[in-house]
Amino acid sequence: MLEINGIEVFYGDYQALFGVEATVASAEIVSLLGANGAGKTTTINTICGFIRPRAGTIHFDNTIIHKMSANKIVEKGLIQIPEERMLFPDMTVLENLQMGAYLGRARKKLADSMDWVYGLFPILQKRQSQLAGTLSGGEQQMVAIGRGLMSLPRLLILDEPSLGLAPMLVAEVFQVIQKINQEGVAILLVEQNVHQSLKISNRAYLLENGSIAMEGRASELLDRDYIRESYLGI
Amino acid sequence: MKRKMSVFCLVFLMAVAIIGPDLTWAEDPKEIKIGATIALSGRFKGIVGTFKTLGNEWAGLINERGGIYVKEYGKKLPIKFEIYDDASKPENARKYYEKMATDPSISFFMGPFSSFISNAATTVAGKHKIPMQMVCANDAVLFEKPNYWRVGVLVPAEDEWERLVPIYKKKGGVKTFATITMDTLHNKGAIKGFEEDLKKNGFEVVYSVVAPPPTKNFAPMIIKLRKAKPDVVCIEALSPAFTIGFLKQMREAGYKPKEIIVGHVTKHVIDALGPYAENITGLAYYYDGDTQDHKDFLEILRRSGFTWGEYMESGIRFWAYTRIKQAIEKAGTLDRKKIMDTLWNMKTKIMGLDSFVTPEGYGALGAWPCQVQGGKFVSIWPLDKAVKLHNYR
Amino acid sequence: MEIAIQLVIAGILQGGLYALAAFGLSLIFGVSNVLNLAHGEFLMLGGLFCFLIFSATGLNPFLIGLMILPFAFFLGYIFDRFLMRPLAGKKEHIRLMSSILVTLGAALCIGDVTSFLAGAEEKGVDYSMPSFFWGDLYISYLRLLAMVMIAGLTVGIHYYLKKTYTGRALRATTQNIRGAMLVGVDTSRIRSVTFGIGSMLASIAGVFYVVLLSISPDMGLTVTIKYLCIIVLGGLGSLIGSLVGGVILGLTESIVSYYNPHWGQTAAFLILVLILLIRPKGLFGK
Repeated sequence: MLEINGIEVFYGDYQALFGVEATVASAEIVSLLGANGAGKTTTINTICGFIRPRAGTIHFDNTIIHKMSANKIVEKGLIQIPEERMLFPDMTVLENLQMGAYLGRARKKLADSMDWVYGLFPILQKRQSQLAGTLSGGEQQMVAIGRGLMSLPRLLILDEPSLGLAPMLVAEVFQVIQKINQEGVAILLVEQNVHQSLKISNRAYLLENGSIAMEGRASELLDRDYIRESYLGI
Repeated sequence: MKRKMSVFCLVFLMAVAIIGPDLTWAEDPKEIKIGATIALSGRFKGIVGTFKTLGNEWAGLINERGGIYVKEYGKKLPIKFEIYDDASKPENARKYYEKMATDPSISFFMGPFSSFISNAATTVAGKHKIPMQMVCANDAVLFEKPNYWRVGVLVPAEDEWERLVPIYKKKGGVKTFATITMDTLHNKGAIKGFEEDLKKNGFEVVYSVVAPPPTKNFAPMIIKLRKAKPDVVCIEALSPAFTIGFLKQMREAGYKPKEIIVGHVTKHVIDALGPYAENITGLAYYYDGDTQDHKDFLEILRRSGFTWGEYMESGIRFWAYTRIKQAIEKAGTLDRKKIMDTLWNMKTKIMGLDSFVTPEGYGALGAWPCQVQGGKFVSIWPLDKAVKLHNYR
Repeated sequence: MEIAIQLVIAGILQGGLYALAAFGLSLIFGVSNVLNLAHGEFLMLGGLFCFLIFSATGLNPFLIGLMILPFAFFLGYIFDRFLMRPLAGKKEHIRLMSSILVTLGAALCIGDVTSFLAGAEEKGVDYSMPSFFWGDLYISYLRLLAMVMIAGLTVGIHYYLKKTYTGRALRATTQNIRGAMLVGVDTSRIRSVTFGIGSMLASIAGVFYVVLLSISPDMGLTVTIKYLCIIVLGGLGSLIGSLVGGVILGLTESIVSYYNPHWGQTAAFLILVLILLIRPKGLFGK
């Protein structure tokens, strides 16, 4: 579904990504792991069209997307839920969710998607007329995920969805990710919470200093000594 | 040998280049060149932009008759204007006059529009000792410091409105006046003179206000105006926007004076006000008459494609052109000093009226009353005619 | 007392006129984070086209104003498309600075070209309506109509921004441009649309200008500066702020001018400084 072939990304003279290769198949959950500054966010921002790679290609559903503008990529069903959430703070929760269904395809199914999101996060229905900027961190994360779902994603990229959340909420978020996946949405999960991510993923990539250091089945990676020592602290 | 030859050639060429202009200058001039700047762009364009055409049409008319007779050369010489656009800015005017001052074939300067820009231009005339006949410039500031090389054509700004008072005095029917003045030296000067004149003649000024040029909201002034209930409302403003804005808002407020006087009434003011402009009294530098000058003036206006009423300052130009022509004919030479002497001392007639220069350098041309009737400007002078033709609103 | 009421009425009516164009400027700043110094030029062009069509046909100037709206929108849209969009990729402060330079250049250029093509003289449309009198008080129907139109436009724009997808996308772009891109908003197009709307509002204000006052090609920058003050006063990017800012400016000018016309403008600027000292982000700024 998503194929990344040898992308090289530069910030000015500084090279951030060195020939990153990765794939995500439909209905799969794939984790992209790595320490701070390894290039995870750069990778997904390149996929979403915010950064242009200097070399390499990105295909989504066999279409080249690394030259498309961000909004065109969204139209194809590749949706990112960013780490900073990027909500519209002066809009209500409802309006934020409605904005998720901005594009024509999603607009037609607005009511259905709304039910789906409220089913996943019942609290959002209670908060629907509150301004998004006034919500708690966990609730904002729910709105961010909800807004992403309103766009009817076929591949959902989640950037650090558990960051800054209370442990109980973290568990809930991972549950929700699994539920979304069960609806047939492929997921690319970018996480520092390596243990939890690997537990729900099919496969995973480990990014170090801008290139893929390791890849494989999630269960397999969980057992590797290197991962256990460097990322799980066991 | 070859090298010597080329050095010689070079020296010779340089010598020609240096002496050349003087040699050609020593010949009889082929034409009389008058240098001037005009506001062809910028904020004054709307008032004076057309006067480049007017000047060229006047030169054309004179040249059709052979030009101006200069005794020294024993023949008539054609006239030619050299006109630059000062974009309504004194620094541009200074730059172009300085440039023209280096051209020995220019025997005369004509002043730019407004006292403000003329102030810069007269400095150049004084510095290079080139005669300057000023045009639309009659504010005291210009005449305070002596400068032999400039003379005006207009009476002082304070006397600009003086021909209006006799009409009201003779006709009667109005007693109280209000004046709304844009805050410029010229406008304040004109109204100051007018108000003094009114008081001397037993009229009352019940409301008088000076407002800054960018004023858009006149409602506060109109509230006071309505309380004061003047018979006559006078607006003196160089900027048409000021006049139009005020009159539109006075109309909104439903205040209907018996008489409205607009000091600088132009075609654009009339167009913007439509039928409301009917019977607005104004001032123009023209009165109906049948001298040769009148015929010449109307002819160059016809050729330029506008009327004296549409550009009320056009008469000033005509007087200035005519004074230049008279001065050259009287002096019989193009010698700058002699021409300047003549400009100061000459007493002649233009349009059947006396033309002279006061010791300070003011001229003798004042404005004549006119009125908008049937959408057109009608000259209402002399006094008997004015009393008969003039309408209250 | 009557005088006070009369002054307040005059001030509010004048302020409404200020608010209308300031509105558009504020909208553009909010969405694109650029200052459009050519805004006054759009106002002047609106007035000019109204004048030209009025002179040719004699139609009701306000009807003409409505007729030229699509054209004004188009003008703003292409202005953004060709002059502003190339700046969009720049860093925020560089974009702001470049936008000032580019729009200043455009403003001077539009002013000069207009002066060349249509003449530099003042132009006004002769159109008047009787005023409403109540004792010594008067209210000009023309200005009242302006107020009603401004109120209508405010409500209209409010609903447009709240209820339509494009309107919401416009607000979303203002609040979080990345977020807007993530939900598939073509933010470049939204910016151009915003410029179009801003230009439409300026053009309506221009129609009122040419009817109530007069216009000339060199008026643009003077009015732009006034509108900049209003949106700074009201809080950059806030619609209600520009409305309140306009009325405050109108009221101050009106009341102070009653005592001394020279202090009218100055007092308005003093109020601006005072409000900024107390609330550095303006009345409704965030």
